Amino acid sequence: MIRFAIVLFSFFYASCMIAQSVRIYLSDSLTKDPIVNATVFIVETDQWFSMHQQKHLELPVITLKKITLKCYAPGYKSTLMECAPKDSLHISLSPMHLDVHEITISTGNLSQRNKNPFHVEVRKMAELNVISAVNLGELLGRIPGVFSASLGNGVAKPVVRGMQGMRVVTLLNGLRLEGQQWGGDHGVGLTELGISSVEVIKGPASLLYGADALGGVVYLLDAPYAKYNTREMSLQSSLFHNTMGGRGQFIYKESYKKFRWLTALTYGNHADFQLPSRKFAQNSRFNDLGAKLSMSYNARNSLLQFRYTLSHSVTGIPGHTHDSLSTPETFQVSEQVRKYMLPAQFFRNQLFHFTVNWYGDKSNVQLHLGSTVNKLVEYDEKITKPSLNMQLTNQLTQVKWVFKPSSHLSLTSGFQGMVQNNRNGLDASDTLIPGATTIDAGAYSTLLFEKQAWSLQAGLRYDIRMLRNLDVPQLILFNPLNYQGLNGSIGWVRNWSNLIVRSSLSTGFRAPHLTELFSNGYHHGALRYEIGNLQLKSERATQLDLTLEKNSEHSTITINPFSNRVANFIYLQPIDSIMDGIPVFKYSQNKLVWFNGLDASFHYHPHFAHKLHWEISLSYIHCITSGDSSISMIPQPRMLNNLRYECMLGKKVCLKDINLSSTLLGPQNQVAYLESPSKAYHVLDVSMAIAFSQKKEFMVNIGVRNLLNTWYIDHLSRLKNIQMPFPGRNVYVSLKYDFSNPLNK
Amino acid sequence: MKSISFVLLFPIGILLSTSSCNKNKCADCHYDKAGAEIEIGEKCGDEMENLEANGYTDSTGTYVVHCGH
Repeated sequence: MIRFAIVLFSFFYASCMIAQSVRIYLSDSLTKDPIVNATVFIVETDQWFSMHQQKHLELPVITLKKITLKCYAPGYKSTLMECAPKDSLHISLSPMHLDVHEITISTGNLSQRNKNPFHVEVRKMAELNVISAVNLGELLGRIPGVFSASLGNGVAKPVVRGMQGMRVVTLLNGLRLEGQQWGGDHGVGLTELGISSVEVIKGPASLLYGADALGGVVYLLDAPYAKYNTREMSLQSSLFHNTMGGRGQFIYKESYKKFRWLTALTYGNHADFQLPSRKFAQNSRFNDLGAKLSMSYNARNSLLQFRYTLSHSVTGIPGHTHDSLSTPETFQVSEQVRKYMLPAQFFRNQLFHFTVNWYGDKSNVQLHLGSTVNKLVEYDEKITKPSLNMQLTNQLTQVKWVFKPSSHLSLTSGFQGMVQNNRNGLDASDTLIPGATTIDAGAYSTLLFEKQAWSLQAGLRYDIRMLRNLDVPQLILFNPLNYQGLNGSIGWVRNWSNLIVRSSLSTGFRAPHLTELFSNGYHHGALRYEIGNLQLKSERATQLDLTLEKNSEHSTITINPFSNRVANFIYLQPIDSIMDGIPVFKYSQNKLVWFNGLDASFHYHPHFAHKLHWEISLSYIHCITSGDSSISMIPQPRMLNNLRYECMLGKKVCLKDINLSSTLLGPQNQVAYLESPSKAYHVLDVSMAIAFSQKKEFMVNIGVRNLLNTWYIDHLSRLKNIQMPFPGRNVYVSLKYDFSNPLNK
Repeated sequence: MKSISFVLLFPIGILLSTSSCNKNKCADCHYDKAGAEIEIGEKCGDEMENLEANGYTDSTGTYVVHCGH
């Protein structure tokens, strides 16, 4: 018995020797005063801690030999640091009015933006949502260099530096989203529910994301779990007068010592939107439902996470008529309707994502297992028989090994695999793309070297995409449909005290999609008859990107010119033919297309008016092709201006801020054959936020979009063909209530 | 414990609530004849399915029926 007690005691003692309780002190690097309102995140255990106005933070027992901490405090530069847990850690934060050192994850490693050799745009959803938006795509379109291609209010997808759909990879917490993005009328397939921030890599990024990451990567990140030992709840409701619609949202989170979970629900419903002429866009109505369940558990040296996301939407497709003599007025009606009518699109996305992270002394391993199930059903002519019925299932595996032999060097190697199945329902009257299995496999390795003010990253990747089990009658293939790609990236960044210079050269490739190879049918959603081309080759892109970032105490300016060379660019060529009143297009290839342009942004926060923020962003793309026609859907030059005044007037009822946003788009005359040019337009939006109670738990946001009731059509609108303008004046009110309390006092 | 039960029931509840049932769907239907849309009123379920599949027949012929437009 005594021996057993000794063994047990020894074991317990040994465990205590490894385990470590940590106390963190945060202070101002200049004044040395303690910071009491900071938030600290431990990456390895997925735990958030709040200082709660205390001078130090007591972390629970940590069993890891090394931890990565993210420290945030209002008015200070965000800090990312690795350290060994010890009794007390003293961290000093540098004061900064404008924090431009956000921490990014999308380039493979957690890194501070100023130390990242690749330029990444980082935006919090709350920042983008200062003027409320109706859908996620519209929010993403407020990021410099990112635009939104829409089909009414119900469908909007991101356009990165002139490329969209299959040329842009969208990820949610690292899980690749596949939602029939080849179609112009198929949106992101997600609501903004529970998403806290977005990172955008502009340009090719096949090194990390494989095939298809040719135009860019949109990396969405879920909101963090509740802070340690806390329960949090959020209720939100938004009402829009223009669509007589709204959205409700509910989020509930709990965080225990080792286990955290959250659940979220949202429902949105909008009737036809009102035009500046006070008429309504017929069948632009939509409704959607979103749900989310996430769980996370930190074991001794590992972190396990599971996430489930559901998105279901029913979207009317405007611009449909049986009238052979239709005019733009045919689709602009005097009655606003919410009731379901044809044509309509039913879109359901289910995402299952399981991740495990193992943390060692000098290395860590990540395993991602994911499954996405996407169902798209379109009803065009008959309410009881769908015209399209497609189910896309996607199984994804990703293994990543990060090895850090020294504090200067980091090697990341990984493998990504995907098996994608497309199946057509037997009840559908049309088949646009055939049933098929797409198999992707890719392996990569990248090296990051950091020394003093320099960071250098370089890597290589090999991918293969195989198309199998093609359900195409009478198809005889002499060679299997295999597409291979060897890609690489190299980038560097140099930090001076107020200046950051970075440059990168990256490549990407995209194999032709099933729709481009085998399409042969009506695509009512896109108002086209599409014909595929089996002779298409893979697109290949090479981009040179340069970023200059000048920071001072009260301003930051970023200038980011780029040049992206795309070989074998696939596009839809109109073939001067009409099938049942719908124009016919065939997939074709342009030998060489250059996308040259500039993104620039400026944030000014004057010393004499500390509550005023002025942000400008400019985006310009110029396209040069080797053919006799330009590329269609090139975004208009854009200037976004946002003025924000942080009032903070009143105590119990506090006028928090007032925002004035101006969107100016220049004319677009770079048009493809049979594509119409677009005129310049200017839209003004305004909003203000009011907080109630001292803890600011209850927030009211009131605003007006398109304040001047401007009549405009964006060049990327899918409704441009029927001369359908964007919504007119839209008054909205958004109410939000946040609640939190400790689980164990 | 209540939280855990909710966690387990959540996905099932969501899946059931979003499962649509087309069988009892109703819609206003019409057919096109000599350039005019002729309303035949609201039809539901199997009756609507039959009309869309087989068309509407009167003394002059059979015409294609559209519902929900």
